This record gives sequence, C-alpha cells and structure tokens, in this order.
Amino acid sequence: MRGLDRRTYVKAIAAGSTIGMAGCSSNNGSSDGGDGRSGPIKVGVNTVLSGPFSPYGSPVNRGIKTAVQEINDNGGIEGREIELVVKDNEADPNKAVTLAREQAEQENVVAIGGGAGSSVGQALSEWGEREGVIILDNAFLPSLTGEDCRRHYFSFSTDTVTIQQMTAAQVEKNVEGTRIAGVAPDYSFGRSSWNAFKDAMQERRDVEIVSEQFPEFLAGDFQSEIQAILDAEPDIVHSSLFSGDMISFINQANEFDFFEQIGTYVSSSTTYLGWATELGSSMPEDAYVSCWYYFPYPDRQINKDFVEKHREVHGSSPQDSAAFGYAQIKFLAKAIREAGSTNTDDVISALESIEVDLPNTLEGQPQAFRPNHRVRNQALSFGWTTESDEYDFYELTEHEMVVAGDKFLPEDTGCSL
Amino acid sequence: MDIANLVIALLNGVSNGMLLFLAAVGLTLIFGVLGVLNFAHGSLYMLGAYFTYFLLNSTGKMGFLNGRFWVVIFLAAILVSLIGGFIERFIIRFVYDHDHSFQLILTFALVLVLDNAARIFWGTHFRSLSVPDSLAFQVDFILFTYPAYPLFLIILGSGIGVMLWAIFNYTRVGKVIRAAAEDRGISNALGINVPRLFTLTFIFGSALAGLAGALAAPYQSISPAMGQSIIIDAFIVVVLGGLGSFSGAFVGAMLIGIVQAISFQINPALEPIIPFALMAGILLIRPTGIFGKEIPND
Repeated sequence: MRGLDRRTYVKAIAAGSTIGMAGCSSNNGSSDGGDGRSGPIKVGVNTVLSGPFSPYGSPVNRGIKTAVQEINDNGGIEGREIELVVKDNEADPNKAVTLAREQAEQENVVAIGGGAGSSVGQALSEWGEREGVIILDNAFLPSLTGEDCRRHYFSFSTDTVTIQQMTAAQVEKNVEGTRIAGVAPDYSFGRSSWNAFKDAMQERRDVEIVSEQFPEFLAGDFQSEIQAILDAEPDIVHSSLFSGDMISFINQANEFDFFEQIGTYVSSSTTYLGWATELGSSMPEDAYVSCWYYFPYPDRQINKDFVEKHREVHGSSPQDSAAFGYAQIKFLAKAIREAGSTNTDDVISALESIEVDLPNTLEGQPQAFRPNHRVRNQALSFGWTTESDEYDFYELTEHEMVVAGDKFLPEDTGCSL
Repeated sequence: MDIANLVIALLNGVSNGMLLFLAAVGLTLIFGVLGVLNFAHGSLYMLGAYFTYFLLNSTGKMGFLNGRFWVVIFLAAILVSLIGGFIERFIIRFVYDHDHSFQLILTFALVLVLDNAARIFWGTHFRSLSVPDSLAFQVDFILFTYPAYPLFLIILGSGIGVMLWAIFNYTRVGKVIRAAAEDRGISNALGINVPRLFTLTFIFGSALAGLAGALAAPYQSISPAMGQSIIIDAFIVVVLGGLGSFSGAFVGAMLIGIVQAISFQINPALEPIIPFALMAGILLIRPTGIFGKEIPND
C-alpha cells in the first residue's frame, strides 16, 4: 500500500460522503422578457427530477407539461402561450429556494409549481410569502395549509393526517381484522402517516397493534422487518413505504411468502402506479391500496382527454402525481383568465374563489380551495390489486373515489388569512 | 428470542454481509494494489444492476438473453469490467503519481458522470427485477423455512471469497499482483508489466462490483442513486477490515451484517448506527483495522 495512511483515507471517506450528489437541471424557458403583455406567460416548475424522490416529481412535471401543451394547443391564455422554466431542486430546500429566486428574478415567472415534499414546501412557502411569488405545491404537512398557512401558498395535495383518516375509513368498510402491524419509512412522513392511521383505526374499531416497524429510508434490506411482522401474525399490515422502498420490500417479502401468511396488505403510499408498473407480476394479489389518481377512472370524457393528451406528449399513461401537476396549471390558467391579468394579488384572489373540473374529480364535483384552508378538496382512489389482462401492471378492482370534503378535512384548520 | 428466530436473524445478517463483501472486495483490491480510492466503485455496482435489468428484459436480437439470469449476471459483470478497464486506461492511469486528493476528486467526478449518465439514458424511476424462478422457493430447515435467494448469496459469496484467497496466496498471478502492490519499481525492474497489471486489477475489481450489483438487482430496487448508499458501507467495511486486506473485507462485512441483524432483535433503532459504531470501536482498539498492517512512518 503506497503513500496513503489510514488517517488520510478515513478523512477522504468522510469528505466524500458529505459531498452531495449534483443532479441535472434543465431550463426550458427562454429569456425573452417574462411577463410582457404580449409575450408568453412564464411559469416556473421547481420539483425533484433526480434522486430517490424523483418518482414523485417526474410525473408532476409530466402532468404540468401535458396541461401546458393542451392550453397552448387551444390558443393559450387570452392568446398568450404558457412557457415553462423547469428546474430540478433534488428535494433540497436550500436549492429549491435558490432556483425559485432565479425563476422569479431572472425569468420573471408569474407562479412556481411542482412540489417535492414537506421540507421543500415549507422553504418555498416562506420564501414565496416574503418575495410575493405564488407557490403551487403538493406538500403533505398539515401545518403548511393550516396554522402556518400563507397567502401566496396553495397545496394541491391532501395532508398526511387526512389521507390516513380516509384510508382508515375505507379499511373499516372493506378490510377485516383487528391485529394490525405497520411498516413505514423512518422519518417524519412515515411516522406521522402510521400514527395518524393507527389513531384513526383505534377510533373506528377495537384493534390491537401487534408490530410497528420503521426501516431506514432506502435501506435496501427489509428481511428483519419482514420477519418481525410475520412473527406478530397480523390480520392487516399497513404500509406507507413508497418509491424504491416499496419495490425492495415487496420483492423481499415475496421470497418469504409474506403475503400468503398475513391477512391483508394495505398500502397508503398514494403513489400506486409508480411502483406497480415496475413490479409487474411481482405485485401481491388482493392488496388494498390508495392512490392520488388512477388513470382508468373515473369514466369521464375529461379524464379520457387528459390520458390521451399525456400519452401524446409523453408516450405513456399518467402516473398518480401527474394529476397534481395538471391541476396546478389548470387552476393557474383559470385564475389568470378570471383575474384578467397576471397581477399576483388578483391571481391569488381568483385562486381562492374558482372551481375547476379535473380528470380525477367526480361528475358535478369540481375542485376548489376551502376558505381559510390552503388545500384543495382532493379525491383519493382506492381499490384491490388484481392481475390484469389489459395492462402490464396489476390493476385495481372495486375501485372507489373518495373526496376528502368536510367529512375528513378539519373544520377549524387554524389558518387565518 | 427463540432458536429459530436467532438462526433466521443470523442468516439475514450473513446474506447481507455477503452482498456487502462482494461490493467491498473489489474496492479493497483496487486500493490494495493501485493505491487508488475509487469513489466510483458504487457507480460500477449500480451499472451492474442496470445491465442485469436490461439484459434480462432484452428483446430483438438480444432476446435470447431474456430470463437467463445465470448468463446475464456474468455478462453484466463483464460489461462493467470493460467500463472499468476504459476508466483505468484512459482516466485514472494519469493520476497514479499525483496527490491522493487528485484521485479522490477524479473518481468523485466519475461518480457524477456515471450516475447522471444513468439518469439521462435510463430515467430516474426505480426499476424492479424478480428473483429467478430457479431460486424462487423456500428451503425447509424443520424449525423454519428460509428463502433460497439469500442462501444462494451466502454460498456464492463464500465461493468467491475462497477463490480470491486461493488466487492471491497460491497462484503466480496472485503473487505478482502482491509484489506489484508492495513495490511498483522493483516489480518493474524484475520484468513485470506493471501498467498492464494495474489495468487487469482494475478490470477485475470492477467486475466484482458489477457482479455485486447484478446479484443485488433481484432483491433491491434499481436506481441511479443505488451506488451511493452501498459505497459508504463498502468503505466502512474496507476500513474496518484493514485497508487492502481481502480477509479483512470478508470479516468486516460479516461483522456488520451479523451485528446489525442481531441488534435489530434487541432494538431496531440500533441497526443504522451499527456500522459506524463498529468502525469507531475497532479503530480505537486497532487503528489499522482488523487485518491491517502497520504503516511505517516516512
């Protein structure tokens, strides 16, 4: 061994391990003058396009691009096309704010959409309020749309607690069993998801919590957790694992015949298609899952048009969070039309009052932001996984769309604007 | 904890440790012989997983590989070794005589290039492979059953460990590599083509990284970032076992795998800190690592 001692080596490892991985960023915008009345209307996209959270951000970006293409093909907004300025924030709050500043100051965007989790949402919410820039986000943190709500901030995703309350209500209705185990990623989202589901189930049914597992996020190995859950002999296993964790967990669980030994596997990750399309035939049969949006439903023309446009633009069907991106642009476009300008205050006022019909809404139930609550009245899809003759992933049967509505959204949000 | 649970925990630990050993042994080989800290080793592991995924799902003229896991894992290792050979011959060779900080920056740049290339060519979403049908069953141990795939990892990893040990201790090639690692100048003077030997060593180390990635592919999700998580653990194994030591890499990987699995049974919260705690503890007692040699002061 030449010239390098152990101390230098250990220092080198420490240095290397602390250096973040640089990702790619792209900028689809031009610099031809922001919000000139006759020029294009620039909209920023500030989302996660690389790293472990990209399976969430990339579909959002595709949904945004689909909506923009659709609007531009139909003549734009009052004759003005929408132009996107896309940036990859790598789910890093500091980077997200730096990129947002560039988008606002150099590109003069009228709003910033996208979304990349709660920490980024929190950072952008604070920055947007300070700088007077509209932020269209999808963060799950209840406080962001409740007690810490801000005028310039709108979330298109129902918060974690509401999602789990909706999931618990569906489980009570559709799934038998009282012995419940939980597996969730070991960080704030995972723990708060499991706690909210556990509390909601305990209110609805006399249940016994037999195992709680919190594997490290993207740990890769779940054998110990799988064995611990099997030892507890649960009727229901609730999971809020997502992304690569869900794939690794299911692949390893299959090897242990896990799904044959438990009652029902309930996934509330809400990003079903993201992992179901990759798992293919490895998906367990008869798992009960939730998702933001499941493109075969509802059977409405507006949904069929969205799916067709998405396939035309991207060559693939829209995945769950694509519906967020699409909704952000449709809301923004309608708000600008209603406001008659891109003036921030006018657009915010319009966003607070408009109703928008979207692909994942039920007939006659357009979506809107609730008064004193910066979250949209979002619908969730639920269903049972089953092998499909039509798709190369397990489809959902006995599909149900549930709207959060007054039944699940809190009466007093703590938000006062 | 009953006996069955203890044995299952041990098997979990050994199978994880074996995968870690396969990822770390190429790293320690390259470091021991070339003296290069190859941060890009994790990216080569990632490439092994991706090549396995695409070869197993190939169509058209490559369609004959579809589903042939046993052929594909070795093909993936060969493809990664070719990339490794290219990297050594045209990039790393030029910094052997430079300060180690240059090597670090260069191999870190390679991480960025390879990981971002994977993102550009294959996208950022996670991919999934199933365990091959021939290993998709459970083995009955009377008191419990256990999946065949992790048992296969244990057997294959042990086999590779024994093979490497035999090569480096009992073959001429192994002795030549060890000689070149000990003193490049004298080896050159004795007629050994050291540059070629270094290239071959890098190719072999890269093949081991590719093989580890290929074997991890059916068990873990595949993504451009998967190399980043394994490389830190692999470096810890190398430090723990002793820099450049094959036996050390094996013992270090087993130690981390088994202690993690057992600690999970006691308190799952301990599991993530075990590798770092073990490294700190071992270095305090034995600063050169378990099998590391003392380095004389200049």
